[in-house]
Amino acid sequence: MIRKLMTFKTTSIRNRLLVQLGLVAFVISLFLFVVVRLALVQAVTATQDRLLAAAVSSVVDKIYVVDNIVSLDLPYDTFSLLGAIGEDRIFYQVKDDGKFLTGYEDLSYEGPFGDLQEPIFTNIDYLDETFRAASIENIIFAENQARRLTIIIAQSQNFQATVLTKISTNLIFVTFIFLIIAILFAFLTANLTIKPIGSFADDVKMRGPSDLRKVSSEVPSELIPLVHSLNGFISRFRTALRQTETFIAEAAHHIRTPLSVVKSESELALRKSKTPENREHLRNIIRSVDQTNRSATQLLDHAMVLYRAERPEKQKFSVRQAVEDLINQFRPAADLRDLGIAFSSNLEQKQQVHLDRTLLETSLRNLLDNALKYAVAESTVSVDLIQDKKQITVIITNDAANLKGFNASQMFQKFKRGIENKDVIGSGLGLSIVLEAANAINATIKVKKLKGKSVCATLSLPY
Amino acid sequence: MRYIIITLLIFFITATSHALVIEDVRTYGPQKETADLRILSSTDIDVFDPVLTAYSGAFPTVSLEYVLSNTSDIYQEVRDGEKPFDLVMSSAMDLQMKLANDGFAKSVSLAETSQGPDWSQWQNKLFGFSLEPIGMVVSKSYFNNIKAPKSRRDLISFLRANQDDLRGKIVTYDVTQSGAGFLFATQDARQSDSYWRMAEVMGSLNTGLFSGSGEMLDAVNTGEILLAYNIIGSYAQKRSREQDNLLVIYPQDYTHMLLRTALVPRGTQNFEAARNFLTFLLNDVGQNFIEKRTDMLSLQSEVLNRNRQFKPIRLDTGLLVYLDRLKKQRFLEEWKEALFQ
Ligand SMILES: Nc1ncnc2c1ncn2[C@@H]1O[C@H](COP(=O)(O)OP(=O)(O)O)[C@@H](O)[C@H]1O
Ligand SMILES: [Mg+2]
Repeated sequence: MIRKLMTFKTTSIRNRLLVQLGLVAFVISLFLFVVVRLALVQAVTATQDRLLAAAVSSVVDKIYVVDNIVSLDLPYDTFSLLGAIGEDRIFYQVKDDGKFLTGYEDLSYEGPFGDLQEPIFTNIDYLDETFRAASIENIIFAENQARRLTIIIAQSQNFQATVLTKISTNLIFVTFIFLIIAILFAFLTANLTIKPIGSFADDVKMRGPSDLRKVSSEVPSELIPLVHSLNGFISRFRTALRQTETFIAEAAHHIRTPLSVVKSESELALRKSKTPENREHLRNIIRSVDQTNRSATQLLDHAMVLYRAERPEKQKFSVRQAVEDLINQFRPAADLRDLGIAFSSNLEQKQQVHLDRTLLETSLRNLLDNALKYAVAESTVSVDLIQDKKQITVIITNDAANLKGFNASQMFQKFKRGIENKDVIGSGLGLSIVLEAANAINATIKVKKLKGKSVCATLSLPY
Repeated sequence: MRYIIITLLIFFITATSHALVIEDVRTYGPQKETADLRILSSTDIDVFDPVLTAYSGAFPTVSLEYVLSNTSDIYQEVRDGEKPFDLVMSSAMDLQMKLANDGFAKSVSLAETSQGPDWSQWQNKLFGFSLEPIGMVVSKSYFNNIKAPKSRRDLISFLRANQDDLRGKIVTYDVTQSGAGFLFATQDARQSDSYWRMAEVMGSLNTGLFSGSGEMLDAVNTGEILLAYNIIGSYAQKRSREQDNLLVIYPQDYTHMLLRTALVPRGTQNFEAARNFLTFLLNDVGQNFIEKRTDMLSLQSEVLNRNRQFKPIRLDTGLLVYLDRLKKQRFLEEWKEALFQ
């Protein structure tokens, strides 16, 4: 179900945000470029126009009339300057009352003409190029007669092109830098926006497998509905789980009471029974009852561990004391199989830990139970309590009779048992209970086969 | 309307009647019916021959025809475009500039390494390739124990002080006949106000007017003439090696540097050959060759840096103004008034 959800076509908020912000940045850059370039073209054209206007007025300055003949002394420097920036071509024409006076006769321009203050600027086509031209008309008086002089100066537009390409390259560079910065910001923004979601996800991911507390991490307001429904989901899930556990625990409890009655009745019957067949039947019944009882106890244990894992009740106590008490509880059982229990410790009695004592005892009890069950008769089980800089470790070692099919990693699964010990009573829940309990108190558990035929279980407690 | 037709008619007649006067022709490389590269130039073959020989050595398969003519014929020939030339070189910078401005030159893109100083090129159409100072040449024997004038002011007072000695013994270009002479005179007039004063004084001394520098230098060498004004340095320098009465003086107030320019005319039939020749002329090898092996100077010549008096005539649209009908007319009138008294 979850896998199926994951393979749905995924849409990443971050990527979408990135693409949108990037797009916006790109559009703004483009807009910026176009607008600035437009302004630039206008500015350059205005500059060229002013240059042309200055040229026209300096030409007008050089017009003179002698003996009623209009003449012109074209200024060298003006023409030099006009071509200075873009090596532009220059054409001009002067007409006297509509009659060609000097310049380029085939430059056909019929007006309109401005005056010295405000020349008319136009684009005109001449030869094979488009030219920018300034034109004016100027009235002069010769022998009391007004004469209308028209002057036009046309300049090719290399000037514009030269200046524009020069500035445009800079402009492109600046726009590009702007775009890069904008995209960087987009990245940053997208990441910042997405960060709470990431840390929220991490929060949930970091939880232990049976941690069903409500999510309480701080999230942006947009995510609160999600958290609410997630919490609702968790609590529904928890209630269902709790109900199942309670049901199992209660069922186990209800089974155990009648079972003990069956057992004591069977024992009574065994004592009274005369025929060996009946006795054999009754012994079988008693064994099955034991087996069932044990399973019921472990189911209870299991339910208890799961319950406490959710809300561990931490307390301070001496580990050494706890381990020693536990060993003492197991002594009678050990004696039954002629087993010795060797205990060693480098821990002071007063050394305390702070964790859920019941959970620790449950895990240790199951480990000890296994050790005594599977140890070779008349051997010794050793329990070592070792403290080092990082942790406190309980090591339980026993010689095992038969380890065929023993695979340490699989033995932690529920109801998984070794194949060669069907005659030993057990349910296959022991090690899984140990694992759950150890996880709940942040301890680590390892079971491994040592050289020879011994098995060693190691439980490491954090400080 | 009738007015226009008449002017057109006149224009047509003058245009066609203006035949190209070929003064000399020399060919290089393999002989062919029509040469691969045809150059029309105003530079004396003797002056330019080392460059042409070097080019022919570097590109032996190219057949090259070098046609010598005068600057105004060259100008008219390019405008008319009757005979196809591939490269046009001229010392009349103003006429060349007008050809380029008016659209008679083709754009040629050259490699970065072939780019001269910005005053030596105009667009991609007109390329200056050599510099030559314009000075005066005097008779060595006359100035043996007389101090020769160092500037134009010196010259003016010298002319005034020695009127009797110098009457009829001075020569300069006839600007109405020589395009180069016109350029030098107009640049003088533009550069300094004293030009017209000097022209007056020269006029009062019955200054002789020539259209070519060869005759003027010969006359100075024989001692018949004592001073020739506005002579291209490369000619003078070359002559002074063979004719020992020639002394070249570069005025210290300013000495204009003539830029010989080349353009590829619109009607070229072998654009690539022209481009190749231009590249050869303008890259380091060609420029070095011009500096070391000819009497011309290269564009980056040390002479420019060594001495502030040398001023290259800049290749820009300012050159157009003295070609303006009214301005030219006015200039020539004033010049005639000054020199014919
Ligand atoms: N101390 C041990 N020595 C040998 N075998 C062990 C030991 N502890 C566990 N095992 C093996 O691991 C299996 C799983 O153990 P466990 O989960 O406690 O189930 P159970 O003891 O009820 O069989 C056992 O059946 C046994 O084969
Ligand atoms: Mg067990």
